[in-house]
Amino acid sequence: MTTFLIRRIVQMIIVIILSSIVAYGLLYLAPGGPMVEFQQRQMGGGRGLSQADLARIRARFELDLHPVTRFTRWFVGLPRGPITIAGQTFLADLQVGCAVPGQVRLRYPDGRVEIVEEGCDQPVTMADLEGRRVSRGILFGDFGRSQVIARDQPISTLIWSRLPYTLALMGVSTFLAILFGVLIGIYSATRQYSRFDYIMTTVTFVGASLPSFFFGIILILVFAIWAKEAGLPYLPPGNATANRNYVVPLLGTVTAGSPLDFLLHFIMPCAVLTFINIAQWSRFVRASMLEVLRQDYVRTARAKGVREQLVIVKHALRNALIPFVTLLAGILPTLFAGAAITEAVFNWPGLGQLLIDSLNRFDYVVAMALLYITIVLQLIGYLISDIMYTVVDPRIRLT
Amino acid sequence: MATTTPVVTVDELRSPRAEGQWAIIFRRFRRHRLAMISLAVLLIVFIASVLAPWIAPFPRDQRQLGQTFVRPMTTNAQTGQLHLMGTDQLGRDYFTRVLYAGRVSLTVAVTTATIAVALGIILGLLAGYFGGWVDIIITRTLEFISTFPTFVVLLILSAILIQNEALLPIPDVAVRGVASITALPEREARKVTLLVFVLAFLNWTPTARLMRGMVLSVREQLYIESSRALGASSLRIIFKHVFPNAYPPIIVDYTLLINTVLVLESALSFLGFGIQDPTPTWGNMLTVAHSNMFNHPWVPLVPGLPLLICSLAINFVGDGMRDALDPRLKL
Repeated sequence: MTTFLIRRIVQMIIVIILSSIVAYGLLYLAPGGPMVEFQQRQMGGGRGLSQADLARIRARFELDLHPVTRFTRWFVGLPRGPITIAGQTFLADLQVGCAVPGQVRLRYPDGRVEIVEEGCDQPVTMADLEGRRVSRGILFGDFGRSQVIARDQPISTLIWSRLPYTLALMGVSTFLAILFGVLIGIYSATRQYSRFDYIMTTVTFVGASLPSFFFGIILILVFAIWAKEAGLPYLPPGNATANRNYVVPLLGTVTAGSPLDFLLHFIMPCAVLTFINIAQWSRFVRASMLEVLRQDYVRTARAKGVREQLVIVKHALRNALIPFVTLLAGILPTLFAGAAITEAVFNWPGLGQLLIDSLNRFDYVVAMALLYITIVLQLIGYLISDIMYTVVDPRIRLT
Repeated sequence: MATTTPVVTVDELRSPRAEGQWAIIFRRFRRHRLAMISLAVLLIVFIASVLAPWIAPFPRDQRQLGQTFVRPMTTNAQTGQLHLMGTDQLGRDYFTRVLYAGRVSLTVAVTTATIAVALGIILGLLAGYFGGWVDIIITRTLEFISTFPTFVVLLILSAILIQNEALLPIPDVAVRGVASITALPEREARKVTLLVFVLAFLNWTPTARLMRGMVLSVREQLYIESSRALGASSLRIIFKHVFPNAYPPIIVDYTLLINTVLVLESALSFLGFGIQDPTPTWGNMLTVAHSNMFNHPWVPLVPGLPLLICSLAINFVGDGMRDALDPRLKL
């Protein structure tokens, strides 16, 4: 078990490093970014930015560093500057980037002139890095600062401010989905081919294939718009809380920001996510239960005269839930990343919405932080599920 | 050799029920009434969207001033033409756009699924059949890709790539092909092609895993060994013996993947990261509908219902195929 854990954790770290490189490379490739705006301003003939201004802005976003240096500074917060050992400084002249790229005029035989960036007019050395702001490294939980969405705010503050909303939404809906999913799954399996089973398999089948955003829109249509028009109690269609008090029939005036207000806003997105997830869980439990109910030990238990309820709960369910553990591993990242689509439909201020915002507004550092956290959580989820296997099923040994 | 071989006449050999595998599958599939209805619905939608340039009553992007959000089934006061599904925020005919959107959405779904499944089949076959380092490389790649949260990566990839077309060079042949299938101008088709590649790249892994599993079990069968003993080449064994015995679950997988991609594409376009206006898809039409639904509650139903119907129908067909292909299930 110990060797297994050590090996898995080493593997995990390697995968984390690899996927961070891939994730960083992905977003590094993206042009967009903060410079586009300035370049456009320059080309638009507006108040021109001097070469020095541009260099300063590039330095602020670390765009003047080589990709590798940028990556290591983002990932582990190094290098910070020349290394000083016993009063001696090393590597002060090592070039780590380029502040002003050199330009070479190419004159072709046919008279065309092209300016190509080549070499470097003004290199950035290790000594220049001294005094620049740098995060402690994403590996150690410092995600750096947001560039666009909340200017200069640490990304962790941004994430913390959104996290409660996502956790509430995902936590409650996942809990409800598992609860109902397991109950429906058991009931369907014990009464296979009954009317209940038939209806439930159809409903869950529809739920699994439904595009969630359209389902959300339909809910808004029915419970927010039509219900309001019909003078029935209605639900607010978006956001987590209202800006001003509003009147709902039967409930009276709802104070903005009160728990009731939050609850009313919470119901619809939660219902969408629950419904979609119930489908997955109940299908899974049903299949697993059907498999187990066919086993000999279930027949033996029944033959012994054990009460049917007890057979189902103690003999069948416990064994049927073993494969369940793998699915539980998938919960961890979804709890965090939330459901971007549902959050977008209901304008829920969670992390999924944050991801969409950051991509829309080229705040790639935020997107990278979110992607990174999701990947790490997913890996932790896999590890937990492997360990859980041994707990649930003693026959499985990890070596 | 003490066993006696029973004498069989030629007539007996040709059994009266010499129906092929596909005939059996289709016979079993026909029993699934919902699947048959779904197939019919899908065919109608397909044909309607293929015929879009001929049956659409208006040009795709024609705007009519002052005719925004005209209710369905009303006639245009100026021209006397019927707007079957009303008009959108710019006064473009919804029925026309739904037809063209179907063409784009379904093309993306089918081509993506086909590319992804083909890729998955090839890699799965290689990994399962050859084992060794080929298997290690392919399965490690699979595992690595599966550590990425798919939808998050999909959002990021399409956000970056779709907005910067020059980043990923795609062959002009592919663009022209997509342009001719979707009836789009080439500039718009380029983005669609890009999205197809991104989606295919992220969706081949389940097929590869499934195929590898199937090949692993088929590979151990006696008939593979005997054909190897007869001197068949690896290529022949793979295509003549392994693949025909391993592909049935892939068909179901393929059908369900079409639906997954259809929903993914519309979700991406809905969020504004996939295909964007003026190219119509059901997803990006829903974005406009979503922001205007308070004043015009009927609007989301126009692009939403075709999407919902197609998604359900594809799923039911997949379900029917699953039942038809499952030899343990008596139909």
